[in-house]
Amino acid sequence: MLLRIPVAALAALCGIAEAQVQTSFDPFDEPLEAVITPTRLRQSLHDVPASVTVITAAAMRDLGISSLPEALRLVPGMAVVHATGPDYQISYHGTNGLSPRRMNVLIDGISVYRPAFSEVIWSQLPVAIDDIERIEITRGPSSAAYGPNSMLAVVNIITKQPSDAPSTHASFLVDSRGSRKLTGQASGRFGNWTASATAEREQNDGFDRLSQDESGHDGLQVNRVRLRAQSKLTSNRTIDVQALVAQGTAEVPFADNFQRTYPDRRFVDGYVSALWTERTSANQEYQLQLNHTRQASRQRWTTCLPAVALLPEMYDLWRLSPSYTEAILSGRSPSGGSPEADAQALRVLASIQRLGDRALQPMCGMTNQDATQSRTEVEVQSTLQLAGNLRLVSGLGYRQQRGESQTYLAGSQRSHVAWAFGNLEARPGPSLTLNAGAFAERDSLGPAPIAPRFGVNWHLSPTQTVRLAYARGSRSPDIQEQQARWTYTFTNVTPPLLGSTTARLYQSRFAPGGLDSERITSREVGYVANVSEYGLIVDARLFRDSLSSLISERTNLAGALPTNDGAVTLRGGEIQADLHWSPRWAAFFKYALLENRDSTNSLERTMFSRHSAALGGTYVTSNGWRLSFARYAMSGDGIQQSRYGRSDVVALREWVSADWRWSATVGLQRLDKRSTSYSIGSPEALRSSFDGRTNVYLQLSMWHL
Amino acid sequence: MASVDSLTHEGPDARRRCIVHFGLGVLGASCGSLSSARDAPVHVVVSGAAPRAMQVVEGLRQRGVALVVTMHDEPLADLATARLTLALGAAALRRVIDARTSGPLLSALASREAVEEARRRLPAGSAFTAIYAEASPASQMQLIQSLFRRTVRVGFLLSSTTATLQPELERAAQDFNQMLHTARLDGELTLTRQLLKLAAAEVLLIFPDSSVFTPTSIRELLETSYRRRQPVIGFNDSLVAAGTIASAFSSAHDTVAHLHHVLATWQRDMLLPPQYPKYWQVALNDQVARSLDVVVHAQVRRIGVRP
Repeated sequence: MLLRIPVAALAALCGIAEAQVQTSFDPFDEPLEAVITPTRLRQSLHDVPASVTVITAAAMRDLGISSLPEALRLVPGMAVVHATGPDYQISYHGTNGLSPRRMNVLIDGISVYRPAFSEVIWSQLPVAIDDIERIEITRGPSSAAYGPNSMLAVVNIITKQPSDAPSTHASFLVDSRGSRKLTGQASGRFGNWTASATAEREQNDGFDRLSQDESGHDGLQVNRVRLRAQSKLTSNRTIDVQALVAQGTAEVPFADNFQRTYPDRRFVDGYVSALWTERTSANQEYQLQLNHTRQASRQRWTTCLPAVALLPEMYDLWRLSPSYTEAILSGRSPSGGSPEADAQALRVLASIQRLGDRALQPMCGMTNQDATQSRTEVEVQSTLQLAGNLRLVSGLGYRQQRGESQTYLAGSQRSHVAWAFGNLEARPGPSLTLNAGAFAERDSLGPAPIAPRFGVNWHLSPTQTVRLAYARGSRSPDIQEQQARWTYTFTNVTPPLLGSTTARLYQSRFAPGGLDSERITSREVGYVANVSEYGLIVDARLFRDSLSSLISERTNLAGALPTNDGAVTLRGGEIQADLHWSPRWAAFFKYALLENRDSTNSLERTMFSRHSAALGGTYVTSNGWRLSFARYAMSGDGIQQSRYGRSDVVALREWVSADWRWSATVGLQRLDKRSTSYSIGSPEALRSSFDGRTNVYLQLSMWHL
Repeated sequence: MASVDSLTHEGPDARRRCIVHFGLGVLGASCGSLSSARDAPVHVVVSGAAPRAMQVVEGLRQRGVALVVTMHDEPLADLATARLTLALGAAALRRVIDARTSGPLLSALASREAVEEARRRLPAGSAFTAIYAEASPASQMQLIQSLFRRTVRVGFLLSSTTATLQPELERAAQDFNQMLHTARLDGELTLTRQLLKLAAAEVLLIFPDSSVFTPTSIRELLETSYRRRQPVIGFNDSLVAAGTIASAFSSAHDTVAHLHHVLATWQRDMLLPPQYPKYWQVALNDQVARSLDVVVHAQVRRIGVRP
């Protein structure tokens, strides 16, 4: 006969049984709290008010893409010009190729856009390809979400979290053009923290020949280090810290006949970031991000100039009248200027007379384009699910930025920016998504317009959406544009000039200030289709962008002072299709048709391709080979711009054993033309050439999970 | 010790249970209506306060099945002479086995893993069968095929617990034209790292596995897979609400219908082996599906086998 014994007592007799009954997790008995809460959900392609291109790490691996600039050839409408070894000119829809500056680039939310000179130096980005999880490119003005400088597009580089990185990874790449890249990575768990470290050394010899330098002095050597650590402090609170460094030397060819040593650029770029995420409920999340970046470059060279070019009187005359100075140097008599210019011209002529034959004697000295740019910013962002189909993302931010350069700024200049933004996503019904947002900024350098964006996404069916979008964006003038005090000082002048070993080049440029922001107004009609049967996602758009208040002038000492007189209209259409119809087959097709019209300054047509396209595919064999083909082309219709075409074939093989993985990749790239030509706003185009059209590369990689 | 087979034989405890059950508004079942051994009530042991178990109890009563219910915090009756003991939930199943009952035992609402573990502890020759809580591999593969509408690579982490599932998974994948991609679980690595082995999978499939899934690791799985844009299928509607994209699952109503069929055809000497639910339907997380750009066609919601 069994006795009726309470369970607890029975458990006490049996010892463990009670514990087993109480503590075993039964997923069918115990409800689970929601993990993927509304605040964590990303917008679907059918809901975003813009066209987005996503380039995954897997796609880059299959296509043998080993640099960020080359990955961007997969973006419809993205103009990519490889000017010299370290120098890529990249801009969505092209326009001014001299200094592409209308696109923002972020690495995990850290902007790598340089505040003093409005530039992104692609070869110096502090992230290894192996660290990239994916790249998201929002095509169109994104100032409403990311602020000014996201005028034409935003490139968002998202890196792997430490927990996603293998415990050990090493990779080596070498190609027939002399490029070499060695990457190492390690990650692990340290108490409550997960951390990863990546180190990479990259070297390439650039082009074989440059129009400005037959020896092709345009190599690059860069070391990159990235440290990242994350901790889940509670189930609703995480912290993510990163430090990134890129250090190296970019070879720069001679810019003129007077340079005696190469003006190579030595750089150290450092970035630190901390991101605190707090989920206060299933419907609300806060993020606090602190970033500090410092980009320092040292660029020094020896130049020999005729003594007349270093006369103090000549410098003063240039300040009064550049045309007078050019006339005297050309041996002509200047005229038509002010009385002050006339008087100064006489002083110049007197100095030249005193120098006699020495006026044309070369004086050699060292000068530089050293510059340091830094920015410190803090931003708070809130994501709030107001109701089932209503979500608001809003935030506030503040940034201090600084430029230091004796050459460009005569010391240091600062500015500060404060901003607020908000984006509301509403789904009033199953057929409609509405997006409305705006970004407002207060910039000490000058006024910045409010950047709004509105989108209506009409869902024709679960698989098809038509999108209407209107957006305005801007680019704020940078420190150098607004506050330039650009002069070249020569030291160790030999022989001394007028008893001094220091002299200044006669040319200078002082920014008048008062520049307004560049602006864009964009209208688009878009279409998205998601056809599950073929794993096909199609995104197409027609757009009309009006760019105004453009600062188009060439930024050199002898060029015209910057104004806001530039304008251009960009119209066209783009389509991208990604196909994954089986685990073995994948393909892609991207095409853009662009019209660049009504430009008030020809420099806005220096980077322009009426037709650009990329297509390719990957096939996975049953024994683990991954075979890929890709074709890239740009018609190159810009001023002095050549067309571009390249065909790639890649074969990758992986071996897997327990927690180890090895891979070998062999690739062949065949250019249509050996040379690339591009404009810098001078009468002659610049040209960069390889000796051969073919490049072969090999990459070996290993991972230990 | 009281056993409830007629009003005249009730003890005080049995009478209390009878009143409580009548107070629940049960129709049809009556503590005193049973008149023969064949119609003897089924002893139901319930684990925890799980709503689904109580819904099953309600549903069986509504179908006229006589039940005597023991809640998790009540002492167990002598089950040796019971016509049949029905354990609802893994904890209830363990409790019944710990009580060393030799009577016929039917399990429901417990995972296959829990059932197989329990079976190992049963004396040889015990009359036992089960309806697993989770839907079958074939059901989940049918869901995947219906959702994605093409062949996709389905990733599955195999542990020593789920290794026995592999043949069924492969068969189901073949039947529904999917590609199964398995990776062995390594006890040394975190789940996030383990999932790197399945990075090439377009969708992840999960089944109950106590060696892998705890509340913490489920959270880790959902966060990691979502970050990597990998939809997860499985393994019950609760997980779907937490963040997997979809799952085939058996509702309380489905379980009741299947149990009713089993009870109606119950013969001690001719027991069916433990089996997956006969009836199932689909739970979907539309928000996660939308966010991952997985289109959910209307017919996905209609697949399954209804009672």
